[in-house]
Amino acid sequence: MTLAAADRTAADHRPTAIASIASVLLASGAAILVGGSVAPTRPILLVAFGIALVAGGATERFDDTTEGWVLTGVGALFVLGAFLAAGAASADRLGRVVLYPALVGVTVLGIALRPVRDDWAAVLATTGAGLVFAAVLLAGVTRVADRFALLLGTVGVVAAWDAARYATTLGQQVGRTATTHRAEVVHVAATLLVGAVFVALAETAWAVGVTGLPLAGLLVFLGAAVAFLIVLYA
Amino acid sequence: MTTVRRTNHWRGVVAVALLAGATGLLFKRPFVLLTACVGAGYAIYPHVRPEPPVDVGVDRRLSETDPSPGDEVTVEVTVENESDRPLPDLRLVDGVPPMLTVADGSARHAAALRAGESTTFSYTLTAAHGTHQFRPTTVIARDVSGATEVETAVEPSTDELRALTALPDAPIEQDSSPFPGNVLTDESGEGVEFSRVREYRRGDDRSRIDWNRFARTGDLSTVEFRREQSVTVVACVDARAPAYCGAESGPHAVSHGVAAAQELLEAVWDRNEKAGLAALGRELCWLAPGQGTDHEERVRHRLLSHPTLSPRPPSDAESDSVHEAQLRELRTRLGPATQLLLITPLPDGFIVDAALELAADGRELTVVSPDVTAPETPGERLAAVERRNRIHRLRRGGIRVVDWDTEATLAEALIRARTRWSQ
Repeated sequence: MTLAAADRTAADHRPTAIASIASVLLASGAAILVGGSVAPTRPILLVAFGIALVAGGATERFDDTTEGWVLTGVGALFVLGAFLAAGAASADRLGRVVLYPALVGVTVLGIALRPVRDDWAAVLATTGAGLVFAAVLLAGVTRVADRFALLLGTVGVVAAWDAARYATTLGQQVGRTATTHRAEVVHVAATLLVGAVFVALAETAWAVGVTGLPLAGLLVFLGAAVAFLIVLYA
Repeated sequence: MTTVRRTNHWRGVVAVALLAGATGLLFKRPFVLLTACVGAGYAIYPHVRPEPPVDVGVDRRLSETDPSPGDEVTVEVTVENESDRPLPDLRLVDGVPPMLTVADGSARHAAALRAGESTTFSYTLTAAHGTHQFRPTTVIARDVSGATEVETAVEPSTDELRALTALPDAPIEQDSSPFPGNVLTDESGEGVEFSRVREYRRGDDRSRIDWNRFARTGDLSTVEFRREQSVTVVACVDARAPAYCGAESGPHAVSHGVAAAQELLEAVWDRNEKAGLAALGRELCWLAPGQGTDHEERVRHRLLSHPTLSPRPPSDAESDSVHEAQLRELRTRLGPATQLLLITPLPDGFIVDAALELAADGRELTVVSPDVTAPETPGERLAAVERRNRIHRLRRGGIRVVDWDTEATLAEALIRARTRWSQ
């Protein structure tokens, strides 16, 4: 960070609001989508609501007040309740296999955006998004989710991770006291748009009939793609 | 100066494509392989958009430029995207003067601007005593994916903010060069203000004989007046790396020092004497003493723009030998009759030795030391004690020290010091 602290107010440098909300919503949405009809949706909704309450308790209006602590406490109870509901739910094993990583992932993402510690924010955001992505992959492997849900779920996970990282860095650079709405909306919308474009491409590739090809051919194709990506990063 | 940086915002997204591809191949799930396409798409996304164009115009307006200390001043900043491409992610940090605090609102802003569009934000400052100048606005633009960042500084033209209360006389000594000037000395000789009466000596000017006394007592005596002499003053600011110390919540000692130098030099110029500027730090800053509006403007500009006096601390500390070379150069440039005001927080022994050396040349030296210690932790209490020891060492060496508690104004500290010196 090369910015000098030119203003000496105790500025609020926590993650900005809109991108944080978008991140949690996208992660929860991805988790619910890939859960499909097998995994219970109520635990995810409870976790999302609990995170919203905890975040509300941390905003400037309620920070360090009794109402703020009450909100945080109630939110934490909701999150706990979500885990208990997941344990008690009468879903079959496949549903639980998809549900648990998603639940933990969304919780970790919420913690990353609270945030508990500034230097953990990036690591926690990546871990949270990674866990939700693990849930997406598991849903794909166990054939719980259909093709479109998987694609949308991947877009949701990547967009949630990007929005969380964006909220953190924007908060550090500009802070919450300043007006940042438009920039956040533009960034999150752009990420979602890119995702939509590539989902459309993938659907087109599927419609063309790629699975007719032998596995070796697909392997070569993927190897070429990976090599291309490595060259890009070099 | 424009810097282009790659943020690591999208680092790691390749893992999505690799994991999905590996899982899909391992478990033979073609749908999972399709999600690898989405991952690959996101891996390409940061590389697609070029660097954003940073061609912005910044306009800053103050609600008033001449407030009283303690008044609130509203600053309104308008930023316009002057290029013909949109700026999807623009962050601004306005250059608030280092000694002022933001009372309301934020001096930072983020916006997304189409070509030709502009955005406005405002914040309120509490005016503090002194002359303050705004620093350039930092502008950071990112492309829409957030992968590349361009940082630049834009300098809008603004008036400076002056919130002043008068400073009493600068702590300059009463005897210096033999040229007549406006400073009343304690030496007796020719002048206007009465000093004393002494016995008549052959050769005394007849116009200075006290004839009234001769008429009364019959003794011849000569009246002496206070000699008026001119004075040359240099204010030297200690801006080495150790001097950038201070409490977390307030400005550091170098900012206090620059503000103090400004005030002291203004006080010397008010008395129509010559004053100049020097600073030890990254490089030796030197402006020979002088008078007049041109010279005053040059000094003010130097105080605000010279890299040695920058509010940002140096990224790596220079060695003592560099400062010793600067000190030697300073001693050659300072005449033996120039009075020196050394403004330093006394962070280490080097500056104490330097002060003693400079005083040993025979010139008048006064040390003005802002106290930026806030003894809360044991380490800070130790620093405060060490600073007091350095002050005692200087006073034992015959150097006058103004111990300035930065909670009070410099004027009050000078009045207190003067009371102590006259005792």
